[in-house]
Amino acid sequence: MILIIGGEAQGKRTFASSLFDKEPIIADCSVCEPKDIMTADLIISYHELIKRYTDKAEEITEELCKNNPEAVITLNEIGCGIIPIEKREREYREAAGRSGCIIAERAKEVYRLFCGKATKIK
Amino acid sequence: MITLIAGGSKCGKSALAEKILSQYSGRKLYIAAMQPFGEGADEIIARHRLMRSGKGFETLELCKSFTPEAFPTDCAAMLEDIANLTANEMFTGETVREPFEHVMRDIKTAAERTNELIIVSNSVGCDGIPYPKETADYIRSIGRINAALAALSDNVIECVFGIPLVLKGIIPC
Repeated sequence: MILIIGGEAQGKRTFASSLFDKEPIIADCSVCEPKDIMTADLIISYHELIKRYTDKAEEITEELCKNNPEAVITLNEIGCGIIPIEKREREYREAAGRSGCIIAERAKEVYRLFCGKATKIK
Repeated sequence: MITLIAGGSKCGKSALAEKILSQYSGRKLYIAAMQPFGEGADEIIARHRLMRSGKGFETLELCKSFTPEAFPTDCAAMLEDIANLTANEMFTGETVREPFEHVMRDIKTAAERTNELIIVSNSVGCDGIPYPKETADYIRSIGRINAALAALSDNVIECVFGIPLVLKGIIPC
């Protein structure tokens, strides 16, 4: 897997697309189902899926690592703010952090995007 | 030696700090500045206790009163974390007070008394949400404290999704 992280609108998707020679099969996590990410080449905005499936996020992430080890995944860094008062929001941030750790550990490469520039951090 | 480890929520900063602390042979102190109130606090404290169990750490749980003058000398310590320490200094008195000098004085005292100090801190300024003045002041205080701690530290490490990024010095483990 290749994991691409960064804040909102830093060029993650553009960088991710540049890694493919042919048109990748894309799973857009703001609309897709967990089963769709198991076969896609490029998984966009994985935090959006975590938000919709917070309670099962770590389980889904383990499945993803097992079933789709060649995937390219983009994931926003959402944990660098004030801890939200709402339980649901807090759980979302924590699930996104833990799921990101799981993917980063398994990934062969991790890039962090800032102002459109990629830094290879693994 | 002072090592500062900072990062967002669930980025592996505690695990790295514990790994660094574990390798010291002498007395090992875990200084918890967690506030044991608020929804979810008990759960976090329980999880962190479980992570630490069997590692030979002595736990000092500091809530409202952080007194590094009372630390035993000649030991290694990790302090977790700056966001709670700052909140304790800032909000638990009768009036809101400027935390910077208090936090820095405490950390400097802790650094003088310990042979090794590992400080766990927090990235809190990047969610782009406008907050009321008190919270905005809190965010700014943590930013300012982090910058001062980084200047004071031998090693500065940012954790991101479990990956440690060295900003100054080395990863001492």
